[in-house]
Amino acid sequence: MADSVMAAVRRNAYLDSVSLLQVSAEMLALAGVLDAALVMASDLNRQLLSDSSLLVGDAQTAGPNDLVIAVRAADETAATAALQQAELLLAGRRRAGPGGEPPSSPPRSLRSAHRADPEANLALVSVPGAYAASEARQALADGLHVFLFSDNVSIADEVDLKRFAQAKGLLMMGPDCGTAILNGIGLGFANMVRRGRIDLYQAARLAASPNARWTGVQPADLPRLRLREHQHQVRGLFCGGTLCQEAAAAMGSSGRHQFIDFGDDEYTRGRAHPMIDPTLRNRAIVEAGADPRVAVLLLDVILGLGSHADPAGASVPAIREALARAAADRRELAVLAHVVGTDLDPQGLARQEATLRSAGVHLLASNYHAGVAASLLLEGAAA
Amino acid sequence: MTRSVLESPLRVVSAGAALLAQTLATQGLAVEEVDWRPPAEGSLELAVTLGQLWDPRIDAANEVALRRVLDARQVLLDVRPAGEVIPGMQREMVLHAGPPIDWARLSPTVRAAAVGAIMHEGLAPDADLAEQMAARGDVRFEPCHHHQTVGPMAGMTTYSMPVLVVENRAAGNRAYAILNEGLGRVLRYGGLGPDVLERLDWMRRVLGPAMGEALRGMPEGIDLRALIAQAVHMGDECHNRNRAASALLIKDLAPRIAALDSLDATERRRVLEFAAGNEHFFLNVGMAACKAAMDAAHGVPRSSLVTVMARNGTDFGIRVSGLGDRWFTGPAQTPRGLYFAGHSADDASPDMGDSAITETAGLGGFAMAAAPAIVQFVGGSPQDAILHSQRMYEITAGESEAYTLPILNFRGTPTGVDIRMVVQTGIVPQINTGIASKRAGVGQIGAGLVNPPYECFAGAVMAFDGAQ
Repeated sequence: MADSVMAAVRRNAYLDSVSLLQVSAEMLALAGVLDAALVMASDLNRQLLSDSSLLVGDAQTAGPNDLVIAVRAADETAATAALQQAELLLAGRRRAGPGGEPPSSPPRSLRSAHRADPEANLALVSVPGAYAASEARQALADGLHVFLFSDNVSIADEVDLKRFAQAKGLLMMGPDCGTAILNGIGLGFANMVRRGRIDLYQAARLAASPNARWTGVQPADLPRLRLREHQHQVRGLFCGGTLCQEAAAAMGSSGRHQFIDFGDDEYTRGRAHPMIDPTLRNRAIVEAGADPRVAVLLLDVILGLGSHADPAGASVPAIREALARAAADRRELAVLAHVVGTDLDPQGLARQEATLRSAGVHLLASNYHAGVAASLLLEGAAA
Repeated sequence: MTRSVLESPLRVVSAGAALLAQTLATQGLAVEEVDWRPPAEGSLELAVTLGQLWDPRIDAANEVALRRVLDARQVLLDVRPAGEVIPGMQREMVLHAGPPIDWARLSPTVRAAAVGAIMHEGLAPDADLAEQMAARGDVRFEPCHHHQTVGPMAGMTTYSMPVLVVENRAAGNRAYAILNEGLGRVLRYGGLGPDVLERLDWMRRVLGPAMGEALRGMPEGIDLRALIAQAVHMGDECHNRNRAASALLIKDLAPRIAALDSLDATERRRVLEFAAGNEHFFLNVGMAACKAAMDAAHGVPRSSLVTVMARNGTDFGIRVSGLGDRWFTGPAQTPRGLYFAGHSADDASPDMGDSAITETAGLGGFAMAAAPAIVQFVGGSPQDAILHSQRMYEITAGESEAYTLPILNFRGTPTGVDIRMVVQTGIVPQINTGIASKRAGVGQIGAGLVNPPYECFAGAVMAFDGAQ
């Protein structure tokens, strides 16, 4: 029997991409549902819907401000039921908390939220980029420090916000500020750390060449690869932008290799960050396994507050698939990764590392180590 | 300031991904989460314009304008013929409710009221001639609001009509409004007929002069700020419910009316019966009081507060304190509500009247939490009444210091609509209103709720950008 594909569109609706992801997951758990997607109809998301054959009906004419609910189910009844359930789930998310007397509704603007808590001193802004500067400016005007998580903010707006904040003596973190720890509180994506005294914290630029002595990475610790002809590329697929740059720097400059930061603006328009939504990177991991040029797959796995509840577990199926595809083509493929996290993080560092090791992933002590190791691996194979 | 965030506990307001707010809550932090939606109803151009208007200078200007509203001390001083007191009033002029409009675009209901007004003024002997005069432009039509005046529903105000004189003692300005005709078939709802004209004539000959004389005998006038404050505590929102305020007003006036030597006993009794028989007797008084407060707040450079919301049965229009005399209009909506027996929504005229000045000043729909009895107009519950008021805090700059809502722990009513917050949240003001028939000559057919069209506020925000 043919599957039934249906899509509903809510014009000018907004729900943050993380909440949409959660509703998608709840839909997927419904009986008879084969695939489901709740996304804002940005160009990227429309392409993804189209790739999954979910861009049907009204969804074809939906724009970036429209919410598309698309479902593929075993039959029409199941598809209709799933769409109805999605509406209910969405309505549930809009509902205010347990109502006492008198009834109240949640604040509809940062200004109003600040009025509800006049002692508030910081605004956390993670709305879509096109609206982010306005929200940040409103918060600054109201005397709030700003942590601006949103990306896709123009340079002109960024400069303007920084100047405004400076004039008012306020902190303006971001745009595209993924993480911060303020007074021991982690904002955005933050690893849980023990409190202590920090006199100066600064991201240091590491030497931009592979340095086995410095890192202590020994070729003997690494898998021995027998590479086929033309198989000499390192494919770095990252959630963290800084991690991506660091690994690329550790590899040294070479046009052969390919590094992609899935947290970059172009991948997050209208969808959640890859640390929360692994879909796009997982797809790229599988593709890398089928690519005859790729010798080493380099990954970051990021734990902490705000991150996926099980990032290792979420990427393992894709890693296994990539390895299986390479093996099917009689190629050897090394998967190297570093887990960014602490033993205090909710995902559990040891558990996450064990999950990755069980899938055949080689873990390195730091992201930089991983970059160096990838480089040594290729040299070792060539030697 | 930058130091203070490192020295004091973090308290966060959050807009956007719920997950990021949850991670703070996980760390034991107080987070006030915004139920955020994209501003400007999805118009990026408007959203960008709005983004430039979070400017401390605008907030400072709004503080000034709001302070003038909150400080208003309105006193009912007198009742006088319009021609004696309304600035710029002329004999061959009819003032109407709402923004300016050409005769050709007037609805049948408002045209009927205009014809009645022209006949009442003796400018035309019959309805046909009155209509021809109006169509030719022999009678000037101007908004009440251009003359410090407000009029309910059609709002027709002519030269010889008695008008209430309200003074704002804080700012020294005055505002005017005609007397309320009562319910049933009345001119303000486009009711037309000999009974309507006879009543208007009696109001001009007897009621107006009697009220004027009574008021002039009270050197301090009647303190409307105090009266409205009390009425709000008695279940009025002073737009669709005026029972308490009317009773309070009559309580003040009755002894003076009873003591008038200029009227015989029959007329004195008729005046009191007329006042007592009209549960909206106070409405026009309250409107003039609100107008006196809002006019004082108009003209503050850079202020984005709304000082007028008014409808003419075709268009809804607003004015903004910092945007001078411009009107920003959109199509008037049809109210949702409860209809009298024999009428339905199909018979309803689009929204009309200057009475939305009450909402502009923080009463009416904004004070709905004070008047749970009237949410039955829309089949709502008392909880809905509370939610109506609460939603209005989202778009207002401040809270009344005089009018308070007992059920919200005596919080002041939401006051001073900020056009920026309307475009930010997509929440439009909640207006309580009477519903007129769309057919000429019928009158009121119900009461209910209505909203201004969003484009008034969008237009004002776009214009505001250019005005800075």
